[in-house]
Amino acid sequence: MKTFTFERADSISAAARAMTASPAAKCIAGGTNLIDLIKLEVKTPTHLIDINRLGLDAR
Amino acid sequence: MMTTDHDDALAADLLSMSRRSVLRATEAMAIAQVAGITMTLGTAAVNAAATAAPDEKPPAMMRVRLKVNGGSFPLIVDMLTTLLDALRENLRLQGTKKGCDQGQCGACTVLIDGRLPNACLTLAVMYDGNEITTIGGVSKGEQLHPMQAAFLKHDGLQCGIARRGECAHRWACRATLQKNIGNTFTASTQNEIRERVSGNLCRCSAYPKAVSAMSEVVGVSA
Repeated sequence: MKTFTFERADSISAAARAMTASPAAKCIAGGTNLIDLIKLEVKTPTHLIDINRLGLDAR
Repeated sequence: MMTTDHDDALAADLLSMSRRSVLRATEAMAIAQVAGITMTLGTAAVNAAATAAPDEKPPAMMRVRLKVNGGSFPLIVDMLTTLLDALRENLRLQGTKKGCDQGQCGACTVLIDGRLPNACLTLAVMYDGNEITTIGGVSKGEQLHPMQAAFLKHDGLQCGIARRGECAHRWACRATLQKNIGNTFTASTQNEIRERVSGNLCRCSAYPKAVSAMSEVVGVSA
């Protein structure tokens, strides 16, 4: 795995700002299949933005 | 097929290493890890440090507090540490099994906020402060959860090596945890039970007895 930085977004606008600020950033929610692909270095994001706590769940 | 001298030598080396000596070596490594300072570092960090190219930066570390099975554990982990590695290697909670490490087998299923993610596909840093329940947290002391007891009664495992059995855990984990969070694990037919635990693969193919065990707990007749 290539290392990356991590942040937990606390609002949708903060997540959007973080996405635009770093071109190689990826959003992460469940982790399937992003973590798989990061482990294999198929994806090599430099920054991960955790969007789990933004209330975007379908349920 | 002809084998080369090299192959012969390799085969001889492997044969000379008995199963016992392999186990001893593994045990020694485990003890070294407990004693060493690597406890607070993710295994990913250790591996990355060993293999990283000189110009690669080491992974950044982050403080997290994992709340697992009623306990609260402050940890310093690197970004690359999966929740599964944090549970097994940092906290030494090894009831949760690492089966495929690719999100396919379901052996590492844990309960987090009413969901059942594969711990191998999530990062420890994502669950700072969340309540996490592992298979180790579903029994009350010595008293097994009804689902665990049913698995024993119905012999719903095979490779089991008793308490460490991966099959038992992967089946019981999902089924037990779903039962634990209310009536989520309800099913009216055995086919529905099979569908609900279809994300938990078992190499021993102990499926029929596992389904019998779950049927008894949720009150489905065969």
